[in-house]
Amino acid sequence: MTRPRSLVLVALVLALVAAGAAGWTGWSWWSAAHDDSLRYSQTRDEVLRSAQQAVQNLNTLDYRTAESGVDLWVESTTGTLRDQLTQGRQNFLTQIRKAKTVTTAKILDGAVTELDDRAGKASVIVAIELTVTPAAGRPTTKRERLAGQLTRTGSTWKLSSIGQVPVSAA
Amino acid sequence: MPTPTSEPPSRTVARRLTRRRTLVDRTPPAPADSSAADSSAADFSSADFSSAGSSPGDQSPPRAQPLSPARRAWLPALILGVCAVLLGGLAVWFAQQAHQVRAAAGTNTALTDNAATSEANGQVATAVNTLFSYHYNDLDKTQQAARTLLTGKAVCQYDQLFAVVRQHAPQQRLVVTVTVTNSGVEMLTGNRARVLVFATQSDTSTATKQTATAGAMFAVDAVRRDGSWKVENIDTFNGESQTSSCG
Repeated sequence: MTRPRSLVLVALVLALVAAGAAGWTGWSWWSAAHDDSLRYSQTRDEVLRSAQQAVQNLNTLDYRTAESGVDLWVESTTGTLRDQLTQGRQNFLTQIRKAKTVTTAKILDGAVTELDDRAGKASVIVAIELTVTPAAGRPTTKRERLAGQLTRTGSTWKLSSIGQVPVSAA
Repeated sequence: MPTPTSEPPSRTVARRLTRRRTLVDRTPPAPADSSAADSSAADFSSADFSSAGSSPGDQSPPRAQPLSPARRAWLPALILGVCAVLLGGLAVWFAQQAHQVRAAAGTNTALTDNAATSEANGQVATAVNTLFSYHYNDLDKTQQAARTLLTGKAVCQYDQLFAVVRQHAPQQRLVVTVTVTNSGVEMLTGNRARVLVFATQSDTSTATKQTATAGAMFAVDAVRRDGSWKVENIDTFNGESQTSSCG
């Protein structure tokens, strides 16, 4: 009778330890999933990713595939920026076909400067290097300092404004 | 005559006896009562056993079926063991989920830790303004201030840059003002930070009375030492080749 009884004790201790571990890790998961700063941190990373992708899209245009390129511009944006791009669509297409240039962008760096998770608004700064290859002649590169705003639309973040940071005599 | 003399002692003996009796009589009832209570309790338990149809010494209806006592003895252990395994598995799964959530968020506290973020941002911006602003007449002032703001690789980077400044600034009577216009902390983990900086550089040559302004972009890797942020590396996005001489 002592063997099963001591085994019950061992099993009881193991079960209690396992229950304690499950309680602890369960709480850990729950608190991580409900941790505002962790969620905020994830949103920040998502905003930066979206911003860099959108900036990349908006600064990439090949005259041979201009139509899909401009479609991508529109897709990457929201609000007034999207309206502007939609309205200017035909104009851009005529210009790019005339110029016969291929523009590619390389994201050098970027940072989220403001993030209002609740309002779904964010501000970013992005450093890019543009390479413009004309129909004839050598490609030229230039760097641009961009500042933009993003707005959450549904579950994704899209650019609602973007522009070069002016070189002002501060 | 003897009676009056004999009577009192006998009475006193009788009294003593009665006193003794009462003393003796009073002491036994307590144990007697308790033993009665014990026996009645025992009677109840034995009555229960007897009503169950077995004598108190022999606690085995199991004896009729010889396999089940062993099974019954092992059953709690088995149930608890299964519980232990299930709970253990649950614990492992919870731990993995928690780890995934935390790993997805990373350790970057830029913006999530508001105070630390604005501190790093502000101090790096101030450092940049101080480091790259100079007056041809007082270059030592800038270089001295730089000593407290730089650390590691940046010391070497800055020395190389300032060697050029020392050559040209006095000739052209240059007054350079650098102002950070935009900056954002992209990474902040403990005492390390990376800040993307957009600055405006305004060069005024007092010799020609001309001012030129230009925009600059670079990232600053900073470390926090003794409560203040120091510039450790300046990344101008030109790859490693530009700064390789500084190790």
